[in-house]
Amino acid sequence: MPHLKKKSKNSKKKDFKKLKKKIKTLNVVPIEPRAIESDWWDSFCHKISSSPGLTIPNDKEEAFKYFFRVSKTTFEYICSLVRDDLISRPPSGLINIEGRLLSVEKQVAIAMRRLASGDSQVSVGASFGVGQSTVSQVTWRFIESLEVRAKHHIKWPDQDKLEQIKSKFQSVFGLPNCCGSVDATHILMTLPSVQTSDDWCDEARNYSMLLQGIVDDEMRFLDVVTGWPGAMTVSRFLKCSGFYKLCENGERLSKKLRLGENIEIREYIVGGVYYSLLPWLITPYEDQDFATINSKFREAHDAARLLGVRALSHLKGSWRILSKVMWRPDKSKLPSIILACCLLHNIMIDSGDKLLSNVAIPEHHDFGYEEKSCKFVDTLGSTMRDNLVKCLQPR
Amino acid sequence: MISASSSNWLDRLRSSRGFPTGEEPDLDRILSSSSSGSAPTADSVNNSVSTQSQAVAIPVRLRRDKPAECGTSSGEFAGVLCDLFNMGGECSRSFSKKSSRKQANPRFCGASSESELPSSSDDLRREKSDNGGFVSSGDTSLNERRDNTNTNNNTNNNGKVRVDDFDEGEEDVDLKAYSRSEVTIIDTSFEEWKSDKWVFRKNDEWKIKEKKSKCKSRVSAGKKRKLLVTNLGDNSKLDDDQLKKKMKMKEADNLLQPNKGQPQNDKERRPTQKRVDFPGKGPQRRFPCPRPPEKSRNESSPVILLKSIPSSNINAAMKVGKSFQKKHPKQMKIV
Repeated sequence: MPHLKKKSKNSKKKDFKKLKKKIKTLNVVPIEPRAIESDWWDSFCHKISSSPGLTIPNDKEEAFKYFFRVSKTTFEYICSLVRDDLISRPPSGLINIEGRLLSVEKQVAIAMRRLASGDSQVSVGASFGVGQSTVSQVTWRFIESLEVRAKHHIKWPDQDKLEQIKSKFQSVFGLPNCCGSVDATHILMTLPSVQTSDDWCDEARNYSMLLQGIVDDEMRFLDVVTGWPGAMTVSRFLKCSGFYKLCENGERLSKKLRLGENIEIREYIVGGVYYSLLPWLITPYEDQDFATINSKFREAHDAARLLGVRALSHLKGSWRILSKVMWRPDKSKLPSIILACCLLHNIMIDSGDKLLSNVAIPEHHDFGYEEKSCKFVDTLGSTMRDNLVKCLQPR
Repeated sequence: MISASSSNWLDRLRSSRGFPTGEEPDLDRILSSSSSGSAPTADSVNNSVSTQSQAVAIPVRLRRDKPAECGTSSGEFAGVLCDLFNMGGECSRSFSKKSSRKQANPRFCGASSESELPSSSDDLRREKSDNGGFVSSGDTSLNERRDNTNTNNNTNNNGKVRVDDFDEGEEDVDLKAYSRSEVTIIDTSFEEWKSDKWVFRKNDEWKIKEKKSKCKSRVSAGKKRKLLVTNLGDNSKLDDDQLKKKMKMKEADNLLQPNKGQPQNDKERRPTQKRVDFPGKGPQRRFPCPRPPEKSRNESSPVILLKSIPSSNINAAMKVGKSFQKKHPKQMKIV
């Protein structure tokens, strides 16, 4: 009897399907209508408020910035950038624990919270009501998308923009023809203690990946290089960069400014003592006696150079995933994570969001690393630096 | 007979070696004469030491803390002692053995660079931290070090790889002694921001080699899906990219409104006529595609995919469909 019953059931199913074929019904996937979750912010606030150690601002806008670093307007802009890539479509769209499709906004929020807090995927997931794997997928999809869609937020400025930057450096720091400030930092990680990891072991005996940024007067990244092993010195790291090659070939920072009869100053950036002194990269004097004589140059140089340092401190403070030690990351993916944070940093500046001073990490961005001076001095660079001193000397 | 012949034989041997013959040879004299170096064996030891000391000077330097005195005066006996207790002395046996084991590839320890080469990687690190000028020392000694490498390489053309040296552009280098790491570089100064490279390192010497093979694989899961769509789809659709985007934007707006997203989604994923363009493609071939691009409006569910499968195989096909759905999330990349 049960056998017969089964048969009858099967035949009924078949008939039903045949009928469906005939009438060409729309589809059968969404058994229950799935709503898109749009109230993620309220539920996030509710869940996160119970977590200890957080001093959430009362103001909603401020609270939003506290968690995601950006204003709501900027957040919406970021969503619009990545919408095409993150949009969830049934049947394969990402869903939360309640079985509802994740909205683009919620996905962006998850990813940005993961980058901003550097908290574990599990704890970020818990505050959004999603699982660890969802956080992982969403974050990576967001990073991949941002890498492509927000590319225009990091670019070397055209000549007009460069002139504006130069005039800012001139007016604020008194440095003529200065185009930016360069600095580098170590992004720490743990790696298995095998021989292949040695190249990533830096001078402070940490495993790390290097990040170099050249910033303008607003601490906007104009050029970013990352992915090189931490065992490299900062000066060698610069040599590996495309920026170095372009400058050496005269394709970048090549315009000269004539000041007086004999003084000619090429476009340049400023950097710390750990960089080589080059015609387009001006480092401070190491000779203390000489530095005191040229105190004006030293002050101007230090102030301009600090832009690069502060930018990296802000970056690491805003996107704490970069300041925490990453647990055995995929070294082919880590550069993308770093770049995404740099892009978000620039998006904030481009959108007019203020870089909150309390967000930056309190200590130096590369805390624990010595500033080992690079003794290499290019003769043309030395002449350039002397010329700059002459320009800055009171007459 | 036997004893007589044996004594003759022994005498002949002794005389051939320059030892006194007779029934009671003066053993003390024999020993003293051999230790003074007059015996041919001691000569051979001396010769071997002189030749060996030139070829493998570095291993001795590597063990510079150990006494270098293992005088030839004690001859073979001293050699045995050196061998047994590893005194670091110049003895032929220990050298011939240890040099082959410790210094498999002595080409990299050129005599001219002895004074610069640190004894080991640990020593190098110690030097780095001690002088505080790792950067500068690396930069200044790099050329000399590279020259050594080049001269060594000139003698051996095997195993050379064309790499990018930071200071002098591309060059051919034998990379056997280098450690190798695969790196993914992002550099916004280049037109293509992302690139894969091989980084070769020997102490503070770094070489780079472009890795070209992985260029095609750098496509995300989402992009792969899109590529698949464009490859399978007709060319006219490819040109209508803007239209597509607009459609997606519309869809996105609707998705934000609860309960309205679903029909729009289906609408968006309806490239209906495409099936006509690819009449030869059976449903089986479409399974590997995560989101089949040729599906019609009514084909957005896995059930619809079963339409062209004979009814007898429906259950099997449904299983396939389910397993495909289960597998699909695995295609996502994980951070």
